[in-house]
Amino acid sequence: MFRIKLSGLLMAFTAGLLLMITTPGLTENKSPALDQLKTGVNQILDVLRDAGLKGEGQKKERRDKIHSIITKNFDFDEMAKRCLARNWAKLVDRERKEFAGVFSELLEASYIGKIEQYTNEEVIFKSEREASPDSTVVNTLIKTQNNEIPINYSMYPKGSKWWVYDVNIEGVSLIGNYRSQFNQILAKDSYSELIKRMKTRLTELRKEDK
Amino acid sequence: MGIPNPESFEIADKNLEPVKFDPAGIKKYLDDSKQQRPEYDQIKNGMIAKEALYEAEKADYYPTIFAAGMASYAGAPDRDAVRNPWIYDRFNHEEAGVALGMKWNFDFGITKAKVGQARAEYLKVTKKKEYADMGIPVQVEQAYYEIMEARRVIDSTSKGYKAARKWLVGSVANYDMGVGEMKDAADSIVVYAQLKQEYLKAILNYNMGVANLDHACGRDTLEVRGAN
Repeated sequence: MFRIKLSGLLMAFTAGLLLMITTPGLTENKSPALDQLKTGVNQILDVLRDAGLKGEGQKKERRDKIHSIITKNFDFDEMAKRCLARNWAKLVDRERKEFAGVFSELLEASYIGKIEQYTNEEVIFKSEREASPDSTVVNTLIKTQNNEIPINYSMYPKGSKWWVYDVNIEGVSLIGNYRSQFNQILAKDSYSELIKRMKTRLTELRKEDK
Repeated sequence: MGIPNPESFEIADKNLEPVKFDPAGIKKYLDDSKQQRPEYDQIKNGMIAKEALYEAEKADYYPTIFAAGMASYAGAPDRDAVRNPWIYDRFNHEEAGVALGMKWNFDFGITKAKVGQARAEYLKVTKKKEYADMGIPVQVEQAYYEIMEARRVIDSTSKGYKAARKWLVGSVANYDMGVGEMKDAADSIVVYAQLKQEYLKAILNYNMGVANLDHACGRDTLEVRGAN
């Protein structure tokens, strides 16, 4: 009755990451963050649809291109900082850099393969609303064959662009979820334990990807 | 989770949706069934036929009385008429007669059996009518309240499986970040699958209830609601 296969909720999750991409600069547009997301998604889809970039042989080039688009628009440092919340202040600079680096690598390692399988889902950009004076939320809907999954992106302006700093999938805030988990580990153990677990997982993911 | 990185998973179910149905009061469906169920007409006609048969069989208990008459005339001018009363003249005569008769079968045992059989047939149809009078409304009510119950279950399981989805999203994200337990992620998948199954089962019950109600009201559910 139930079949486990690639896509669905996890695909939605990865789709969320895929959508965490912006490109154009801030303009007078009524929904600039939404437009940036849309453009970013299209850029990723162009890469994924490019016949010259398909296949195992083109994996590195394809992933480099996706990575490039993501990192230009996805504020991993801000996400890492928000995930640790008050614990961020307790870390020294070296630890902060280390944490942000491992955090972003983990996110990418976890989901890049899934992003590559993102094909037929329809992305509907519904609306953009101001969440606070310095942040906005873009509401989207991923339509898979069997489901409709709401995904909301929290974005903030920095420099000339909008940056995604949180993704909310079906009411679950990615940052809120990680924050809760990180806090538990930090309260029970230490930063060393947290970063050790994350590095272990990163190693596992890289092995699985080979 | 031990799954190679490029793989993910999905609960691959078809999109089973509740059929469109705006419930009216139960009285409407009871009235509909009275008007549209073919059984009511069939039973009514059956009762008339069986009652007539029963009455016909009962008639065999009584004698059949009948009357018969005859007349004959013959004239042959070139022949002498025979006037001797003891000799029958086939060529010159006039005669008429009347007879009253009665036929009565004295096989009362067989008649009784036939009457009993006809009576049984009649009673059978009568019972069918009683069943229809009582059973069809019960069928309508049962289907109606099954729909109401299934609707409630859909609402409650819908909340449950959506909550499980959130748990699934969070637990899998934590596992992928290296800060969640595999057991937690696996449990969330199992619970999600179970609750989704309950939800789909409730939709199935709801749709079946609507089909049963259509049937109970004498309607073709495919005609009313289409194949989907």
